[in-house]
Amino acid sequence: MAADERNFRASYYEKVGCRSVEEKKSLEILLKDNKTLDKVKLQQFCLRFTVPGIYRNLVWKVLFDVLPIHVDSHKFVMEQREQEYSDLVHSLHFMRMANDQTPKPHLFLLMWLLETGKLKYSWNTQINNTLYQSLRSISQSLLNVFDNSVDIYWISKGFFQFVDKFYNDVPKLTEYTWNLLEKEDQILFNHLLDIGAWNVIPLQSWLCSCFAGVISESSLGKVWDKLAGGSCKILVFVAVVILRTLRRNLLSCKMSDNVLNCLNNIPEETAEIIVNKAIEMWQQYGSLLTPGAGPDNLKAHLPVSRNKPAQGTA
Amino acid sequence: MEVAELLDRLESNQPEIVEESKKKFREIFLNTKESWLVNGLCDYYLSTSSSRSVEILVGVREPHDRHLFDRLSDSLKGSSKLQTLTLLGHIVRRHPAWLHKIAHHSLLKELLKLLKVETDILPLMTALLVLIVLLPMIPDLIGGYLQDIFEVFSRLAAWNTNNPNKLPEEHLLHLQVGLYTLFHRLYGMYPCNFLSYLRHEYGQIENLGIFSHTIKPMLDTVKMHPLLVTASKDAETATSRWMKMEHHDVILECAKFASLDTLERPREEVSHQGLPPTSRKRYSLEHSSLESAYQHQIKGNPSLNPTSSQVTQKEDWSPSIFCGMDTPPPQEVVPTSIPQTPNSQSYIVSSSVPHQEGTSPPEAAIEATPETTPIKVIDSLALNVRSKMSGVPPTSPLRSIANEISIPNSPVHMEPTAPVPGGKEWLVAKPVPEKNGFRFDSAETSGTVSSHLDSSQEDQEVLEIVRQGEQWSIDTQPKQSSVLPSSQRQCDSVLEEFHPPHMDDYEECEQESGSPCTSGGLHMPTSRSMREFAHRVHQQHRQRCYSQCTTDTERSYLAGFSTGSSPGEGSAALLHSRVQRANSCPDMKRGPVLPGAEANIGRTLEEKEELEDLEGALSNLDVNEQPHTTNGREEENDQLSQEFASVTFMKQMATASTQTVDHWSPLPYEHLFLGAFPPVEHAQTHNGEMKASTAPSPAPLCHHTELFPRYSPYAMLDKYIETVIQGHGKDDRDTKKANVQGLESELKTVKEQLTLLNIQLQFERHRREAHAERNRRLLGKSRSNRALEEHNSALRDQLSLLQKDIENLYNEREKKKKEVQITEQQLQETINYWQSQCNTHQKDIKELRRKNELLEHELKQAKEKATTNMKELQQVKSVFFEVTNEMQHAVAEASAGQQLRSNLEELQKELILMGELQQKYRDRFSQLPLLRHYEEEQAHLHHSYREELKGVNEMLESRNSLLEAAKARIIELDSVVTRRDMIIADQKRILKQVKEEYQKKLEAVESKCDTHRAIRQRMESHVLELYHQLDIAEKTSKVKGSRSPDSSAAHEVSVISAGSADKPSFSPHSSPLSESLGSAEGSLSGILSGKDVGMKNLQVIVDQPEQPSADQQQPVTSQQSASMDIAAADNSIPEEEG
Repeated sequence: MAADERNFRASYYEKVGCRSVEEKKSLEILLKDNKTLDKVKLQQFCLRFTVPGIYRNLVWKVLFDVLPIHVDSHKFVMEQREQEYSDLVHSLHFMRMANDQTPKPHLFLLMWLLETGKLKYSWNTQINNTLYQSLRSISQSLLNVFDNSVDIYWISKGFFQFVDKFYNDVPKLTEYTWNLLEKEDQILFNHLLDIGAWNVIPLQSWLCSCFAGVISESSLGKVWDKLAGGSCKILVFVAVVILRTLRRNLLSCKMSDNVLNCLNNIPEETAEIIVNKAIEMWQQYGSLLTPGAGPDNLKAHLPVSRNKPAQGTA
Repeated sequence: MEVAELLDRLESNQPEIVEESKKKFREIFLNTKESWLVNGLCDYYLSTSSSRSVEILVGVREPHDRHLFDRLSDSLKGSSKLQTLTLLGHIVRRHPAWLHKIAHHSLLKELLKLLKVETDILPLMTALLVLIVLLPMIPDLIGGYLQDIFEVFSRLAAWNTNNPNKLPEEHLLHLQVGLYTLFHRLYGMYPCNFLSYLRHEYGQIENLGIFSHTIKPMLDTVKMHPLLVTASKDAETATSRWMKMEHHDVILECAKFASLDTLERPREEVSHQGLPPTSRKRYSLEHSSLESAYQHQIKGNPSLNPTSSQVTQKEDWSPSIFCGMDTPPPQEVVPTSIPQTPNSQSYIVSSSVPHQEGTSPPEAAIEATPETTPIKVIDSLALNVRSKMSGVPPTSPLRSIANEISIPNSPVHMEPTAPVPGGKEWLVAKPVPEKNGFRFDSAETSGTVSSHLDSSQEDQEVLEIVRQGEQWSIDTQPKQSSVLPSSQRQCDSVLEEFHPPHMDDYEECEQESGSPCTSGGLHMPTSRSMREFAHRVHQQHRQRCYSQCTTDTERSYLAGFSTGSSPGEGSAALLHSRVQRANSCPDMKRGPVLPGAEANIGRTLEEKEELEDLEGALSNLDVNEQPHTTNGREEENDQLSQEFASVTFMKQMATASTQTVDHWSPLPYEHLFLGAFPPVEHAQTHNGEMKASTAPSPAPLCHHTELFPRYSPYAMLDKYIETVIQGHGKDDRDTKKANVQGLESELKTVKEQLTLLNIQLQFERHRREAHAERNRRLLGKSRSNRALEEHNSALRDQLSLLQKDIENLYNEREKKKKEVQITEQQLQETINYWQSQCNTHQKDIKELRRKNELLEHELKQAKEKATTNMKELQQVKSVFFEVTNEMQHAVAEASAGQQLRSNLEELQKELILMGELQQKYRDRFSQLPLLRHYEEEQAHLHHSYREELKGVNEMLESRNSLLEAAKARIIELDSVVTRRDMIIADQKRILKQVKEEYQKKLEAVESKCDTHRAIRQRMESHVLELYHQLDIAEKTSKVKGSRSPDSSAAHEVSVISAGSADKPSFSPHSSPLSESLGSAEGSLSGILSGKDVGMKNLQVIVDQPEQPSADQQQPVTSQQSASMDIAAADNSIPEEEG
């Protein structure tokens, strides 16, 4: 790894706890060094570390193919993206599907649908689909992170596509989540099973929205770094850790409604703890740190047929 | 402290502890060099008389012996003389290795001084006996003290005169015994010195009395000492004489010279010296035969023998007298020892036990004691002699009886069986009377008579008995009887022959010794001769009859007790004896009681009981023994018949005999006193008090009661010991006795007597041990002798074998001689033949020689010729050689000449050639001026050539430089090319990057384009939808309202505006006009916002009819195509309409 090669003290920094010191530098090197960016390295970096807020925009854009790896052409590409954006917006406005009052997430979703040709005549009902709701919450969260709406659109488009990719595997992921919970915390699992919180916990929406709206944006960025790195498995761990962190509350809940209440109100501090824990746990469970494991196990498992249409649409 | 403890332990009852403490003492002795322990032990002994401490003291080593002597000599001066002397006696008797040091120590001087001065009997006797024991132990060192010893001797000899009436008779007896022994020692060891001393001492008239009374009788008992002839005074004291002699040798030698005293005389001597059978021997034999005949009787009255001996023997102290003392309580020892006897030899039991049965089981004990065993060999030899002798039965009558009783066919067997013990016994017993006789004579004339009378009477009785026995035997066995008389005669004659030498010796001795004092003792010799004569007669009588005498006494006693069956009646006696034997045990039991009852000797009841107990034990043993003995006897007889001649058998007998002797010896002890005290006894007897003397003097008892003797010296000894032990009781008893009997010795004397007796016993024991030692040695010698004999016989056998061999060899030699003669003849013939041949050959040879000479002559001549020829030949050869040499030379020269010729030819050719060449050269020379022109030309050519060459070189150089330049150029170009390649690669890379970049850009653009397309499609579908709505609106307007299009249109607009505001609600009422107005408004707004967009949109709208056909081929999604279809359908409708 470039980071490791650059400074042998990096590992010690990590041990001591000052994580971001070296990360930032290494990332700067990664970004500044070449005219062409190394996408793979960036991916690894994302999986490994938390991307600093300044570079997050750029890195995510690069990783979501919004920007090319060639720095020189960024400007041009970005112009194109802006034009595309404005075109989409204009067409929507023109078709009277949206106006200035239309909320941005809504607009972005419509834009994405329009762009991918999925927009139907009955787009009003189409948009109320749970998946699209989740996607909208992603855009909503992103709105809080970034300023530029063009960037937000493109990044949220990247997340949309990502979610679209593993959408079919969501049942698998939920199953995995429950298994993991059973392994980690038998009592809680049984308790949840007993009170029938199974179906109440909006695990699918969590996964589809990538916890947008569930966890505060400041913490959410860390999780989404991993997603940008290509791992959707982190979501499972986040889900488990949420449950475990709120264990006491959950155990005290006798009714599934109470559970929902508990889960819906996660304070910012708790979110931070949850995210950190989840990342630790994810790393413990053989994340992508082990060499040769690929970006993500699950991703590798994803059926090829699912990838190809996505690419085709992209 | 420790020592005291050890001493305590020493006196323990447990032998292990005693041994342990002894060991401790020994260790202490080893570790210390000081005298304290010796002194302490001495003191301990002096105070306690512990025998164990004596053992320790005797065992001390080097430095302590001196301390011991010092201590002893110190204490000799003190009060405890007696104990000291006793201790010394113990030590001396043990004969420790360092004993010889005593000679150099003051102790010996002290001892002698004490002997000279002491008047108390006990220490005196002890010291005397110590001295006597000591003498043979250090014979070579004693020389210096001889004079002192002689003085002691003379002092003792003159005791009575010097210290009259001081000692009781019993003590005097001991003194006499001691003196007698000393006399024998001195005489045996230092005859010259001693005799010269006697000469000197008793040559004086004042001492004549002592001499005649004391010395002379003693001199009578010894025989002439050969050293008196061969040695001088100095020689006999010299160490060389004693070098090879051990103390027992000395003792024996001393005893040897006491020839007339059989007590002192060693028994084996007789047999050893191979003397003709002495009277004693024969007597013994006779007696033995008798005994065998009367075995039963003897058995029945075992005490008879002793009694008889008691009668006769008075001073008899056989070496084994004190054996009884040594083996303290006889009854105790018996059980252990008796079993051994049957095991070892049944014969012993038969031969020896019969005698003892009743009386003394201790005998058996003695049998078992090792000391006795060595005597076997000696006696076996004696037996051999005897048995041989017995082959000519000396006194047939008794023996015949014996034979009859035992086994008639084997008379000789019988003899060895019984005789041995008997003979021994009698050997011991017999001579005593003689001495007694002397004693009595010398001491008190009256005593002699009586004793003589006694003996003579007895003898006569015996003779009678013998005669009777003879008669009886003759009656029974006529065959033997015929032989017997002659044998008897022989015996007599032998005896007669035998005795004279004795006499002579004696007389010579007497004369020698007595010569100086002839004047004083004129009457003495005569009396002596008289006595001698009488003695001889006695002997002659007794020698034959002595045994009988004893038997006779037995008989007489028998008669006395048992209804006086006449001894001559053998069968009756036998029967009687059997009866007696049956009674023997009870007798034994009664034995002690009877005397007590009869004499009322002050014995307490306890004592009696004790005695009874003892006797009871004895009797039990006897009872046990009896069957044994009888069986043994029978068996023994069988054995005898089978193994008559065997040496082993003899040995057995010998053992038996010796043992009997040994155990019989204690018996005579009593008689010793009797012998020593004839006057006293007689006085007592005269006084009519038979038991006047207390227990120690049983002789009277023996005389008068058979019972008393029957319970044997052991019983007596027991009594003694008891009396000593129970001092007080004894006192009482003594007083009682004194009350009962007028004549009672005092307690003190009794005690003294006991100690004296003890000393005596110790002394005798020592002597016996010495004998035993000697016996052992002799046994060893005899064994080696026998081995040598066997070796000899073996050698003899070998010799005979060798002689046989020699004979054989001789025969062979003869044979060989004959053979040789024959071969010689043959050889002679061949020689003759060969001689004739030789002659002919010689002739031939002569002829041949002659011819040879001739030939040689010829040969010479031929040789001479040959030599001349050879000379000639040589001459010719030399000539020939010269010629050949010359020829060779010539040939060589010829060849050289030829070569030279060929060379000449060649040279000539060369010469010609050279000439030609010269000719040519000359021609050339003539042409030389012509050649100069050529040279110039050539120079020009040269020049031009050089020039040319230079030009070419220059060209080459220029070319080379060109080449180098070209090369440099090439390199340069190469580098340029590579650089260019790199650039190109770089360019390519950049191009690729750029391409990628632009690809990306293109993608972005494409995506934009795609988006556009999607937008356009969506727009088109939207448009189509609008058209659709428009068509519907037109239709409805056509149908409904041509009347109010404006209103409807207005209405339509409102509807559309509402629809656009809300969800696209297709109101069927909206008119296409209003729709178009709406769109016009939209387009207007679009124109307002941006002309381009509006224009484009317009363009799109314009182009739309054309597009479907173009878009038809493009891949469209199903939705799009569906929407397109719808659009197409919609279009077709307005087209149809339009």
